[in-house]
Amino acid sequence: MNDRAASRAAPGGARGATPRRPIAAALGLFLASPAIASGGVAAAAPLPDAALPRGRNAIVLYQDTPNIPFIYALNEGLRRALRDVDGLTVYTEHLDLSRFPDPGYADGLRGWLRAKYAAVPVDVVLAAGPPAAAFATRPEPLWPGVPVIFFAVDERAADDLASVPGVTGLVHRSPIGETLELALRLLPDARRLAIIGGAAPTDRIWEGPLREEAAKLAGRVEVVELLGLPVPELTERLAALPRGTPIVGVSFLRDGAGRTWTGPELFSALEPSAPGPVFSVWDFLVGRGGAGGVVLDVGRLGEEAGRVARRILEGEAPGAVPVRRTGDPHPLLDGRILARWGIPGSRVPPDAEVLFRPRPAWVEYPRTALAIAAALLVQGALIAWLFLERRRRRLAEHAAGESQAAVAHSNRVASLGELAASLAHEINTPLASIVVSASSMRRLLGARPAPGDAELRESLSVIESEGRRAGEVIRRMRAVLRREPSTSGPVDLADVAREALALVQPRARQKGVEMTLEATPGLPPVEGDRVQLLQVALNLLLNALDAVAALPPERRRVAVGVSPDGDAVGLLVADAGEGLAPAARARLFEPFFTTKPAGLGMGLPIARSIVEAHGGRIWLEDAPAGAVLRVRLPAGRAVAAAARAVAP
Amino acid sequence: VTPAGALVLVVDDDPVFRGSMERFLRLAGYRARTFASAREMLEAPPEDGPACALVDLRMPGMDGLELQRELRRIGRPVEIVFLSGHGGVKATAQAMKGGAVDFLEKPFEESSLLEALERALARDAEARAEEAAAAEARARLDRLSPAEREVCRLLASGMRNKEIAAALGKAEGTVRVQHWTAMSKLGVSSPMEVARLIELAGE
Repeated sequence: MNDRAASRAAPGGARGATPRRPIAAALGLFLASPAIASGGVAAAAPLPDAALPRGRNAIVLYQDTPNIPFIYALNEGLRRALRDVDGLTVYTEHLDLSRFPDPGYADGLRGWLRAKYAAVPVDVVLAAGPPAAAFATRPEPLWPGVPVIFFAVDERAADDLASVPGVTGLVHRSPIGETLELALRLLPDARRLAIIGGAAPTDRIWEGPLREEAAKLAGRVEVVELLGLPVPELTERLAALPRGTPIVGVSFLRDGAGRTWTGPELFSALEPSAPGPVFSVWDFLVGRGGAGGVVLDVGRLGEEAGRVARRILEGEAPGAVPVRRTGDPHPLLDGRILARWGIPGSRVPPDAEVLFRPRPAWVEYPRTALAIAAALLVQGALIAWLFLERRRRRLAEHAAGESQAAVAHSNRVASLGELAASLAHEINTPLASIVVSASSMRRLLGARPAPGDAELRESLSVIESEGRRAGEVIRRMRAVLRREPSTSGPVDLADVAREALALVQPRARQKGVEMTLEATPGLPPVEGDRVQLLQVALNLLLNALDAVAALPPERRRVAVGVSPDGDAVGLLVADAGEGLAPAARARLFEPFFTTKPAGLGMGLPIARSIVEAHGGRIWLEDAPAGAVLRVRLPAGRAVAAAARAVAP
Repeated sequence: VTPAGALVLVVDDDPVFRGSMERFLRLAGYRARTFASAREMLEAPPEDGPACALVDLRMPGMDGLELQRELRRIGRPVEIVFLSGHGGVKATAQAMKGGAVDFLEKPFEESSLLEALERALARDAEARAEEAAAAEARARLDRLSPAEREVCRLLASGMRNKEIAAALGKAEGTVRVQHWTAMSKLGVSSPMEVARLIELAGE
């Protein structure tokens, strides 16, 4: 303890802001040069230290350089915990032991550090990672008598660290098994699973636990071990695996060819050849190319170590602070990667947190190649319509809350109507040419009977009727987009249901949803605004469609019914989906309440206001499975005035 | 009504559509002339046989409704079937008020097109027949002397010879002679027929 007393005698020199600055600056310059890699010894990172009456010092030893995200995340957490400790200076050393495992280097470094901190009274040493923990304590303590706190150490690698006196720390259990299980849950059809790892000593530590946990999957998948390979060979081997093979790795600091890698670098190198998402156990990899997994919050590991350091700085003996298990494994996934691999939300565990959840694709591109140009045009028009319709509804919904914006809103809707008109013109003229030309061909055929005529005639009538059907779709689209003042008249609800069904049918087909309509013939008309009632039916159908779109094919069914209901007409929309939780049932018609990831929660409130303005009622019916929505509208009563009061 | 070489004028700015329509009309037994714009049609020499027009509502420059008004203004009666890529309620109403035969939304059915053309040509034939009858009536009335014409005008209004003589300050005998000469010049046998001729001539 002599050196400590000596350094205390000259505190100004060691800690005063003015004298240290040139040193820090010099170090900064040194670090900014490529020499950073050769030394691997990084800067002192002092915390704010304005004129401290009593200063204390902590040294943090990291096994690796700060450009490794794992180390960065640990350090962030640690600094969070120590930020407001009065008079504490934190010195940070990045030992770079993964890249330089030679014992000679470690010995030299020890001597170097002792010399470097000869004048600094060290109060506590924090060592992150097993090699750093060993470095600080073996073969003898680096700073004898100074408490050592190790952290970021997997309990599988902790061996007897805790038995050294004056040493305490935190261990965690990396959730490898849980991550493997999650990977298989997300990719249940996988026949194989690849485990990957680097060739650095730290990487090798994980081979055992990875193999051991993967062995538990025997019988469910074939485990392909790709450990310690050079990255080019690794990508080649991965590319040979079938698509949909999950990849799980824990540590990859250096490859078999001696090249060092960070997680994001590795992910981008693997991306072109990877047969499936890459899972890991560290939270910081999510958003940097990793698919996620059951992960540890690495920042928390650092933060908790910082808290232990505080307790020791406040006077607790290291022996009084037992080694504790920490980390809080939780499932965390990158939604974009799930989407890229076509993993449906239904496979994601309910307790999992999904970051970057992609917005559901309203505008999905048609997959099937269409036979004739007319159909192609229609598809384009329909996509445009879906987009415009969604936009229009959004605008309308926002405007509902902002009466001042009403004028601007109607302008925008009017311009959308304009757009739809020119779109209709541009598409319908070529359609007319197609249909008329088909008629001409049929006339020519009639003049010269020949073999194959029947087929030709049939093909021509397909062109004619499909061309007209395409025109019909555009006509309906126009009818919906056209903003004409609310009108009231007799409306055939069955007709409205049929039209709504025809409008959502392309989307339903794309999602493989079977939609059926059953209407009692000869229903009395209801009184109201046809376009508004069409909007009600559309909202209900789209909700039902979304509710079943992600389910297995046999449950992708939606039934629509129109039938008499006393002196009223009833519309029923039933889906075979998951139904609604009691809490959701109660709030179903509340504005902005939604169960869809990108829903706005305005569809049903709008439907209800329209239905009620028509003197009707809309409610959710109790059903053994799925959701059943019912609308009841009085038959042929004059509700025109009420209907006019509602703007859709 | 069979088309039998009736002329159909197609006015549409879309060249492919014009070509398709021309072929179709020819195959359906019509004669067709196409124009890329309303202006082009107005500048072409007027048709003299049975004819009607298929006119696109929305065209750059002069649109279909303006063409309809212009044709009426210059006294060139053409029966028009309007075509539109996007049916607007307002435009439809305006077109029909302006005397259009029909209004077809593209893409239309062959049968509705043929039916509309038939109606347009029937109306055209009717108008032509009326025009011919009027011309003939005018020619017959032109054979009369001014005095006979005056007598016929009064006869048509239901007056008798005696009343006409009083009204014109002539002798009843003179009126009776003029009455008789006029009837034989016109080739009619009753004052009612005289009235009909005058009405036909639009005088």
